[in-house]
Formats: sequence, structure tokens, C-alpha cells
Amino acid sequence: MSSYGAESDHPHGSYSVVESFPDAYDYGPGEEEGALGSIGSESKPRIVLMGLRRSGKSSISKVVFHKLSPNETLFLESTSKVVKDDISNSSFVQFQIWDFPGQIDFFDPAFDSDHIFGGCGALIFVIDAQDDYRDALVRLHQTVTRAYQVNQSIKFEVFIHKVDGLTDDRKIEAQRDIHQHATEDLSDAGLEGIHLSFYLTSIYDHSIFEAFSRVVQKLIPQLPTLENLLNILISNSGIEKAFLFDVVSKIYIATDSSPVDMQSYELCCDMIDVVIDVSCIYGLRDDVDGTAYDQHSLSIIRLNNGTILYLREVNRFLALVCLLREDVFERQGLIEYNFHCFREAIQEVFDIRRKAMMATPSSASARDSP
Amino acid sequence: MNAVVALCHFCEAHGPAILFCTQSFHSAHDAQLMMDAVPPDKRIPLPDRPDSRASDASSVSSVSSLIQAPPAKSEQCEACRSIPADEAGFVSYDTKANICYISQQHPEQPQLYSVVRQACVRSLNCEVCPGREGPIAFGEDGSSHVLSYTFKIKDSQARGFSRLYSLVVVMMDRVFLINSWPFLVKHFRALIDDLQGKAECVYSRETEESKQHTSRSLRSSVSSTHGLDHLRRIRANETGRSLVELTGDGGIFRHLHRYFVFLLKAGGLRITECVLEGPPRVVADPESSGEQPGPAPSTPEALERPLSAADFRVVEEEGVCVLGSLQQVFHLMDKASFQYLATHILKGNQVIVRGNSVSLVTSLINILKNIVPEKCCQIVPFSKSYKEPFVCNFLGLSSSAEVPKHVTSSDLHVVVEIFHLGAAGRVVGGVWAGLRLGEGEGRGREDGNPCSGYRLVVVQSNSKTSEAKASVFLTRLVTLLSSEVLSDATISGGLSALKEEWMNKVKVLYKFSQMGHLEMPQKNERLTKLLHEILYVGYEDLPILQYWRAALSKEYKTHLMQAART
Repeated sequence: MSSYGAESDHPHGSYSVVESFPDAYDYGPGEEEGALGSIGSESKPRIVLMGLRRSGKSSISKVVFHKLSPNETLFLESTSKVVKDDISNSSFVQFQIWDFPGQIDFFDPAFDSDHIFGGCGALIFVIDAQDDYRDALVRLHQTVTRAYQVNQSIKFEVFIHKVDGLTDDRKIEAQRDIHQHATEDLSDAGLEGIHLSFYLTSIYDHSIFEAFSRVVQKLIPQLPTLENLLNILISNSGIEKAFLFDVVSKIYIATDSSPVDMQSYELCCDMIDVVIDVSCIYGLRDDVDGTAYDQHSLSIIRLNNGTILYLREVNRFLALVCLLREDVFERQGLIEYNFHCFREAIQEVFDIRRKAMMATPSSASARDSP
Repeated sequence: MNAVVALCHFCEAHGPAILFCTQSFHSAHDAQLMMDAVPPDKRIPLPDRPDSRASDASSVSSVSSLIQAPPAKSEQCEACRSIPADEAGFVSYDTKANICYISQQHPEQPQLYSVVRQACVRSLNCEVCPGREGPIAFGEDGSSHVLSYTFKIKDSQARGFSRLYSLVVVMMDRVFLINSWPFLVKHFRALIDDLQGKAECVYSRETEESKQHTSRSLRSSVSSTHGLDHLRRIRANETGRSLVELTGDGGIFRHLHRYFVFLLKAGGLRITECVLEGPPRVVADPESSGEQPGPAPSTPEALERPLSAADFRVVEEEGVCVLGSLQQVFHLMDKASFQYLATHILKGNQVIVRGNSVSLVTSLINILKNIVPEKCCQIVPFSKSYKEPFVCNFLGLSSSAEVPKHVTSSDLHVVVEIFHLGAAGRVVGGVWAGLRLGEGEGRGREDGNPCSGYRLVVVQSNSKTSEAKASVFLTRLVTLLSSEVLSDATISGGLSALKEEWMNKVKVLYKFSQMGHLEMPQKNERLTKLLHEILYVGYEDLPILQYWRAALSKEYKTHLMQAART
């Protein structure tokens, strides 16, 4: 599923070109192998999941990207090998998840840490908040310092995980404690330059999707443009909040610059589920191959508190989900028009990237043969 | 089989670990040496050789003894320990082959440990086998090669209700390993089926019990979410259980030890490594032969002892010249004498070189021994008394020593006398009554030849051997030596080539002789055909070829036998 959109009629829209798309991404000096024209899944930006054993790494990857029910994660086997997961359902959200076994030290000289961390975009370190996390902090410090030595462009994310079992006070306490220790350890080691981001997560609610969204967003270079477009859209249409969702994983790849309220995010997630489920049950005909989500997908849900949820298809993988007041929705035609403009603008962003992507192989070959 | 067989486990708490590994040592002495290399507190005290009574019962004696050892490291849990902490391992002796098999938790030698450890990590955590359970092979040339079989054992208390194990064979020889693949995989599969079957019984029993338990506790508890929470809490505290507990078999490691010993033993018997390339070394290479200035046996006692050709050295005395080449020797005697002497040497008859000077005698022996393959030579450099032919076939003898009558009259001995020519050119020394002396005149080369003052006389017995037809080998040797145009180096090269050629003929003849289920006349007919039409030699060469058979290496003979059988 790495081909993108309906561009199969495009003369250059061959599979290999689409595969080589991540060349267009540029994460700084660490992306040397991409610049040399290596094509294939190896060059996709990589998100590695690390942490102590039983901290919930495999559960996160299964719940977020494989729709595993959170209760069933109890029955997951312990991971013995690095599990590589290709997430390429959207051309914006295209990366690899590497799920590491917690028992093995991958900085051991027997492993090629250059290979593991060289092309790595983000490192997610998972800490079990229900457990004693002192060992985890030590491991976090080791992991961060050594990964930083290999690749300085890695973004470090710390998931304080399994917080569903904690009271709100203890959640805050744990986050403060971990934040303090981790940053102190780093500054003691003289590495103030490393920025760690902390998230409170749980697979039993939407916090893990929200946290993963923000991790993924950091890997999208077009994020400011998308945010800007969303800002223009909401200010001109009177929308309260708008999310650009990756439909399959339910992580949002962009939102407007107003702060994200967890409840509204959950609401939007649930709305996507409802739309997909309803169209799966009633929207598919047996004789025609089709998906539950296509360019006609549109849904409006009126809530009893005077709020409207509005969902529209942007392209095959993306959906715009908005929250707006009922009285604003009276001018539905304006909103529709604005959305139309927004969709075209997004399309342009895609086109620019696609052009860049086609230009990259030729420029790379030009560099190879001076 | 020179390999290490090991059972590895991916421990939930501690990661990959070697559980149990079996090595073979080629003698208890080797094993003891190995033990000496490890720190004394970890050493396994090896008992002396077991009773001989064990050897007649079976080839691998079944005395598996548990040996005492200090407690193991505390950081390991039950799951990554195989042998109880107060015991060190199992030992089996193969008294017939003098091999001792030792099973321990992991190899004590640091290098071997790292090799096996790496194989363990790769097999459990790196190499991907399609379907997750099954055999794969990996490794690099120059380091070890590994056959690994990963499998799961059911455990009602583990995450995912199963735990990951692997069986590995670590070997240096890739070809051997791949050739053993069907054998090893078949037996690994059988062993794993056995283990999994046992674990399945334990697992179903435990789940049955826990079902009853939870249904009871659910009745008492208020909500089912509490039960789920309860489940989550329990599992968080679980500690790894040992393989003994998982299979419900207290003697499981004893069983594994036996199985691994069987694999090592049978795997070795299945395929035998042997030297495939043909020619055994006929011409000594410079590293191992006389060119090296090794310590010459200088004491008279040392000179009296028989030596192999490789150990033989020319003794050099001051002021006495030595003979340098076969050509020189050839020119110091007449052609008939040389032919007579060479025929005897080629057939393996005893050559006695008599003279007063040690260096002269040993140098002559040194030259004459080159006519036959190295392995056909047994040399006594210089002796004061006669030695029997079974002691040596080249004998240096001082002039004062008596040569027994039966020797001088026999056809199976040849005596070379070294005479010093007096100023008048007369032979100084005794005359052999009743024997015809070969007239060995030092022809020409008076100038510059340091040995011109000596004369070599080959003493021939009465019988009419000189009339016998010369063998093909001898004819070619004489042709080679009488050539005026060739340098010494070329001649010695030619001699080597000649010897190699004859060795190849020996091999053909050897194989021919091994074939025979034929009746005598038929066989003779075939032999004649073989000699004349294939080997291009005459009947005169047959004794030479038969004698040279001794130069064939044992490995080569075994190889030929096997090739003949298949």
C-alpha cells in the first residue's frame, strides 16, 4: 500500500518512484544514505520503540497500527527479535516502526548501532509508570546518550506509559519526577542540547494515539504549511477546531494552532470509527470492490450540546474532522466552499512534494557522476 | 564431531541465555587442560579414567556423573539456569575412542563462550526463520557456522503462554555442518517434539487447574473487571520457571546430555572427514626435511639409533669432505656398480655403507636415500655394530665393525665400501675374499673434486644379478644421471618428478590389488596388462612398486578403499 492517491494514470507514477519518495524528506545530516539514492523501505524515516522489558512497546505498536484490542495485549508474547513494521498507508504518514526487545542491549558492539540509529527519525522510550521506574531512567539515559552519539538528529520522545492505573495526582507527580531526573541526568553528562519530550500515555484511552500523533508530526516537514492552511480554514469558516487525520491509524498529522483538547480529539477519533463502521456495514456492495472510505465520504453529526462534528474526505488516506457550533453551520455553503479551497491547497502541497520526489533521483544521479 | 551443541533460551527477565551445552574433548587430558585454563573456583574436578569395565558394555559408557561445583551466579533466574547451582555438569566417557563429553551450563573457555553466546543471541534474537519455528543456518567463513532450530515451549504463566528456546550446533566447518543438516534437523525435531509433548501435558493440566480456580474466585469476587485486573497483577510478579518445571521431567537435562552426546558421536560417525587430494608427499618439502639446520645427532649413542628420513642429518666433521649430489656419487663409481646398488635400494634391500669417516658415510646415505620416497627410509647414521634389516634399511657402519657372514652372502643386502686412496692411488683396506669387487674407478674430475681421493666400491655377491634386466625406473634414472648437459638442480628436480610418477603408479597398483576377487591366472593376466599397457613398466618394476606402497599415507589408503567400495 505504498502507492499514493489516484495518480496511476500519471506517466511517472510508477511503483519504484513512489517507493523512493522518502528521499524528499530531509532530516539533516543523518540522511546520508537517502541522498545516495538507496531505494526501498530501509530509507523510510524510522521510529524506534525502546524501553525496558514489559514496558508496553509491542502493545503500543499493535494497538496503534494493528487495531489490536487493548485487553488482548495481555496475551502478547514477549518480543525476541526486532519487529519492523512498515507504515505506509498515507504518503504523509510513511515510516517504519522498529519494536525492540527490551532484554537486549543494542549498543553492544556486536550490533551495528550505526545501522540501527543512523536512519532513525525518532526514538520513543517507553517507561512503565506503574512499575518502579528507576532502572528505566538509567536505561533511558544510556540509550539517549549513545543514540545521540550515533545520530544527532534523532528526536527523543519519552512515553510515561500505563498511566491508566494511576490517579491524576500521581500522573502529574510521575511526569514531574521523571522529567526532572531525566533532564538532570543529561545536564550532568553535559548534554543540555538534547531535548526530551514527555507524554503520559495509555493504550486504554486515546492518549497513546495523541502522543503518537505528535511524534509523527515532528517527522513531517510540511507541518507548518498544513497548520497554516488549517488556521486559514477555521478562521474563515468559524470552525472551532480542525484535525487532519490519517484515517487508518487515527493519528492526526496536523491541526490548527489552537491548543488540543483531549476530549475533542477523542470525539473526532470516535467519529472516524463510527463513519468507517457504518460504511463498512451498509456502504459496501458485495459485487463491487470498494473501500469503506472514498471521495464521497462525508458525515455530519449533531450533538445535543449544540456542537456539530463534520467529517470530509481530503484524499484516500486523509480526512478533515472539524468541531463547530450549530449556528455557524447555517452557512454550510461557505464552509463547503472553504473546504474545497482547502482540499485544493493540500493537493498543491502534495504536488510540490511529488515534483521534488521526481527531481531527487535525477539530482542524485547527477551528483554520482560529476 | 568437532562441534558444540547447546540449548538456548530467551529469558523473559534476562534476555537470551545459554542454558546447557555439550562439548567433546579428545581425551580426559585435554579436558583437564581446559579446566586448568579457567579460574580454580570454577573448575570441575575431573575424575581419573573410569573403570575399564564400562568400555565393553557400549562404545559410549553410560556413566554420567554429576560433579560437584561451587554455586552458580545469583543474577540468573530459574529459567536461565539448567543445572542446579551446587552441581557443575555431566560427563560421559567414550573409552574406545578416548573422547570425553562434558555438559555444562556454558563453556568455560572465554573464546568459546563468546562464540556460543553470539550464536545464541543470533539464533534467538536476530535471524528470522519463516514461521518462527524451524531450522536455519548462518555464520561467516573464518568464524563459526551455526545450525539453529528455534522452538516454543508452552508455559501457562509466561507472556503469550509460550517461551522461546533454540537448539544450536556451532561448528567451524561449514561443509560438514550443511552435510549434517538432514541428520541434525531430524533429531532436533524428534527431541523438540518430545520436549513440547511433555510441556503440553503440564500446560493443559495447569490451565485446567487455573480455570477451576478462576471460576471459584469469580463467584466470590464482585466484578469481572476486578478479575482482569487481578490477572494483570499476577502476571507482573511472575518469575521464570525452569525447563524441568515446564516439562515436569526432573531428569530432562540428563536426557539432553545423552541426546547431545549421541548427536556428537553419531554425527561424527555419519560423515568422516578425510584428505581428498591425492598425492601423499613423496618429495620432502624444505621446511620439514634436511635443509633445516636441525641439531645433528653428534653423540655416538645418538648415531646408533634408527631415524626416519625427516630426522636424519648429515654429520659434518672438520677437514673431511662430504658428498654433495647423486651425480657425484654416480661418477665416483662405474655404471654397473651404480645400477646394482640402485636396484637394491629401490627394492628396499638393506644398504650398508662402510667407512671410517662419519661425515662421508652420512653424506652418502643422505644422497642415496633420495632415490626412494622418504617414508620408505629408516636410517641408522653411523653404528659400530651391525643392525638387522628390520631396524633400518640404510645403515652407516664403521670399517672396524664386523658384517655377519649371512649378510655378505645374501642377495638382500648391498655393501658400499668407502676407501681412502693412498698417495700411490692404491686401495687402502682389506680385500674381500670370495667376493667380486665392483671396479669403481674415480673417473676424471680429479681437479676440484674434493672427494677424488676416495673410492666407492660396491660389493656384489656371487649371484648373477647383474645379468638381470634393468627396471624401467633404473634405466630412466641412469639416463638422467649420465646426462652431461643438465645441472645438479635440474637432475634433482627430474628425480623428484620421476618419484612422483612412480608413486602414482603405486596408487594404481594398490587400487588394482584391492579389487581382486579374481582367480589367480586371470589376475596375473590382468596384472600383466596393467603393467605393460597402463603403467608402461615391466615385471622388473613390480618389486619396486610393491615396496613403495609403504610410502602411501594411511589416509590415502583409506580414501582409496572407500572409493573402491562405492
